[in-house]
Amino acid sequence: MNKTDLNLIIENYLRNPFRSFGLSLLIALLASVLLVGGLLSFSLSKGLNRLSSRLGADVIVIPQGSEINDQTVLLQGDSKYAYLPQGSLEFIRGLDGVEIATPQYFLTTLSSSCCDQKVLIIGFEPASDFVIQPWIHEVLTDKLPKGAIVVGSDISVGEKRTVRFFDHEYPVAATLEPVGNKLDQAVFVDVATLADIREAAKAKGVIFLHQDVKSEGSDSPIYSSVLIKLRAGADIERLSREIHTRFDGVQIRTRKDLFSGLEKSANFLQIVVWSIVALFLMIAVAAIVISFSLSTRERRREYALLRIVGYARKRLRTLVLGESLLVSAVGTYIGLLLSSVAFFTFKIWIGEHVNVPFIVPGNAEIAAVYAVVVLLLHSVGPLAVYGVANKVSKIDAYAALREVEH
Amino acid sequence: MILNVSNLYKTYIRRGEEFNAVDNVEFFAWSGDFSVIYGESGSGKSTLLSLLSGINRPSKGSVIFNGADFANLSDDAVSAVRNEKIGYIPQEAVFLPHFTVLENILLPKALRDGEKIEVRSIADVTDVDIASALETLGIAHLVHEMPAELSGGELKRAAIARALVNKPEVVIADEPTSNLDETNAKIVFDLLAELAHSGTSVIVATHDPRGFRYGDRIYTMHKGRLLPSAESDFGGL
Ligand SMILES: Nc1ncnc2c1ncn2[C@@H]1O[C@H](COP(=O)(O)OP(=O)(O)OP(=O)(O)O)[C@@H](O)[C@H]1O
Ligand SMILES: [Mg+2]
Repeated sequence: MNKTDLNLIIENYLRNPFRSFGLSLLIALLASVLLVGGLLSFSLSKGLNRLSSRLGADVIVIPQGSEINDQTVLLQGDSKYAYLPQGSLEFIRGLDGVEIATPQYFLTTLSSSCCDQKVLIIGFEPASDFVIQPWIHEVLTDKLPKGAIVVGSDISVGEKRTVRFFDHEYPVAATLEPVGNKLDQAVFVDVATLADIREAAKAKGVIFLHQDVKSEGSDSPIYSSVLIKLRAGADIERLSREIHTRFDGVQIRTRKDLFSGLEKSANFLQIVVWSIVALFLMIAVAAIVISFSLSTRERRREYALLRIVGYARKRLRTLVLGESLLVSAVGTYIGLLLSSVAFFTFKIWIGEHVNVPFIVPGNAEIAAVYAVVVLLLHSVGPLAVYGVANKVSKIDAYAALREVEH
Repeated sequence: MILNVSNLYKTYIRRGEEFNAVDNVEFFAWSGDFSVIYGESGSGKSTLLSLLSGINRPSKGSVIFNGADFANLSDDAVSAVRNEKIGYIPQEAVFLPHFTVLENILLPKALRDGEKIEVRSIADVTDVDIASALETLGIAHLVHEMPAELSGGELKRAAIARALVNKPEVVIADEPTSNLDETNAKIVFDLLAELAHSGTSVIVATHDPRGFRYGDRIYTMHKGRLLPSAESDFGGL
């Protein structure tokens, strides 16, 4: 495109601010929807993938009456003070088809220096744990030092890299990668450290119901949940029947039923997101086509003049396409700017309010989403008006000239 | 420069019937010719001039400019010829409404030179011929206005200036003095005569009787047919 055409396109844009900018704003809206939609969708699938790779247990046994949170139950059960019946771990370990069974203990506290929110403390048994230690290994090559803790990605640890519970400072050995759910706000400790924290709480006069891992007057400890890894070919039906027959007040969840429910809601959200994107795309395309066909009809005499002074037909087409490209480009950049600010301001809020795992993608992935949005939106205008531009290029200049001015 | 047309037709349909707005026209013009075409309203003058300028296509016959038939040239080529060699002044006022009169006048030049259309000041008009044409036509003081702010006669003169900007080989003027008072009509005819003197071929369609005095080839158009007029001085031909 030469300087004359470029100048004509830009000046036409600037000198018709109402028409051009109105359309640009519409494109800006589309760009926002597309960007946020793309990032959301990316975050959702990433969250789902991360979670699925983290689902170490095939089966989890939790107390009846637990408030089931699909996202976290496979890993931890929940934070309500309900406990499994005594002896359940030993029983489960003895069952056919169970390769490993490991217990977890939960404690919830408000008294942490790190967070405004309730912090969930998850205790695991290092000897048998097959769920939490692999995550810790992702970020910590050595063994977890004695008395040290590992925190979820949302817990800020400050410069000292410690977290304070009940007036005791606990060194943070590592921060986990985000998973996109409540686990990002959890603290992971081994049983010994958990007992420590509980002692500290006791000293401060905080009384827990069932506060001891090993309850008073019994040799058998109690647990918040038991996570099971099955042998290949194990019969889950029979396993759960045997547990139910032996104990009242437990529920058994399998990885399959929980994960498929999660997948369903994530897929549903994806469909919602992309439907909204498609709707906006259609509205924007329709508005551009209508606006350009109206305005080019109105400007027939201008095109006739351009023909008179020597514009070739294909250059008229270039002009129309160029104007639509400019409209799209301006809109795209405005939209990306505004929606980026909005998205990155509210991403934490979004993550908390969509009830599926949600992880904001990495920089490279974000850049890819931006690139796609920019490319796609730059082409929306020209593609939408291609027919209109062709029609303009076929103008009968002399007939247009004779059309009476309104 | 030579422009010649032969056996030229432009057929339109009116109430289901075909009729020839331009009917078997033979015409030619050399450099330096001042051709004047008279004819009652609706006789086909404007249609003929539009065919000569190449913005309209004949139904039959050919327009040959410097030996090349428009029909055999690409649109790019005809457009380039129109930009550089033909100054067409349409009967109707037509301007880019969001550009100043000066920007409109310099449009053919910007296009030819691949320059910006945007012009800030009349001081940017370095071509003395253009500057003097603006003075002669009495529109130099109006060039920074928007077209909508000019009168019909002022716009007509701006359109004439626009047609002359690229110093075309042929000027095709459709009613260049309509809307103009005596004084300005004379100025326009004088300017066109001067162009013809310096070798430009001037073709004018008009109702203005002054044309008899200025033109050296006079034609009359009647129902699409072009006839050499009795008053015409065809010289040695
Ligand atoms: N697109 C068209 N469709 C149908 N008829 C047309 C069309 N263009 C022109 N005509 C007719 O062709 C005839 C010649 O028109 P033209 O404008 O060439 O006349 P003219 O000699 O320039 O008239 P005037 O002196 O009023 O400008 C007229 O009868 C007009 O109605
Ligand atoms: Mg006419």
